[in-house]
Amino acid sequence: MTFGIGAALLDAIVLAVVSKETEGTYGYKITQDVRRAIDISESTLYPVLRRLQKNQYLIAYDVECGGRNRRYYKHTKAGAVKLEEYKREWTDYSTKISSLLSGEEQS
Amino acid sequence: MNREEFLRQLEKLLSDIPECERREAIEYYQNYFEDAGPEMEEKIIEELGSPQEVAASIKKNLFGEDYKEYDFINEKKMQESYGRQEGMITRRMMVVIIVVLTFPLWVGIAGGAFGILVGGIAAAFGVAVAFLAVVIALLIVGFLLIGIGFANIFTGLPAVGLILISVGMFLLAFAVLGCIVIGWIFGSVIPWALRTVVRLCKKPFQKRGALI
Repeated sequence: MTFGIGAALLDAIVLAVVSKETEGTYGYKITQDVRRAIDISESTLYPVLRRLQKNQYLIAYDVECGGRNRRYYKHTKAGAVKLEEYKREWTDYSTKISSLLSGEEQS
Repeated sequence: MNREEFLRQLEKLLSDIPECERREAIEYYQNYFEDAGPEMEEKIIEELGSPQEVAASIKKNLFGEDYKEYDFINEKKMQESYGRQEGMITRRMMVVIIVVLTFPLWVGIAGGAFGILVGGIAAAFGVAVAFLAVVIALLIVGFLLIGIGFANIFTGLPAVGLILISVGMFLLAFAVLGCIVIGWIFGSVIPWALRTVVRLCKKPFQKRGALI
């Protein structure tokens, strides 16, 4: 990929992926979902999840699954608010970049 | 490398972060492997890169961008202390080799030193015995003079008698001083010398014991 992804954008992507699942989701699935769209290393996502958890945008909980515990992640209210903020910022940012790249004048 | 090995190495590399963080990370990757299934194990390990990389990404998140420096300092310290330890071991080995090689030399030196010490003790003993003899002589002559003095006061010249008594007293005073010197030699000098000899004899064995 030509364009790098900063920490804030990664946070936004992971938060969006987790928020999509109303029942919560787990590490491996999150990684698969994110990697479907962007090419990132598998080791990148754990720190992102941990960071979102610490900022209380996500909560983690264990669900028993096939005789073992699987850690699930779910967005919090604060996470939902943050996601809306990320979406707004991204729309604004990406629109500006798009218009710059396409050479159109900003209205 | 298999999954267990990977997780074990990761746990070791994370030994300098808080325990809850370490457990959380290990559990996450354990979960990750389990969810991916055993057939994906190899591929995941390959994609995760080395345990070092994974540990670095976790620490970077915990400590910020400075983590590299932090890690570097830690590693340097460990290497330094290891090097010091190694240096100490080689130094000790050198000491042993030198001691063995110079065996004839230091046996001579030790023997000489031992001889001097024993000679010194004997000399002190001799001096003490000589003092004792002098003290005894002083006592005898002193008492004798005092006796003769008293006899002279009553039978001969009282003045001569008094002089003889005073000389006798004078000699007795020297005898008492001699007793103090003898007491000091037997009470302090000889025991100290014996202790020193015993300590010197013990020392090489103690040192060797510490080496082994």
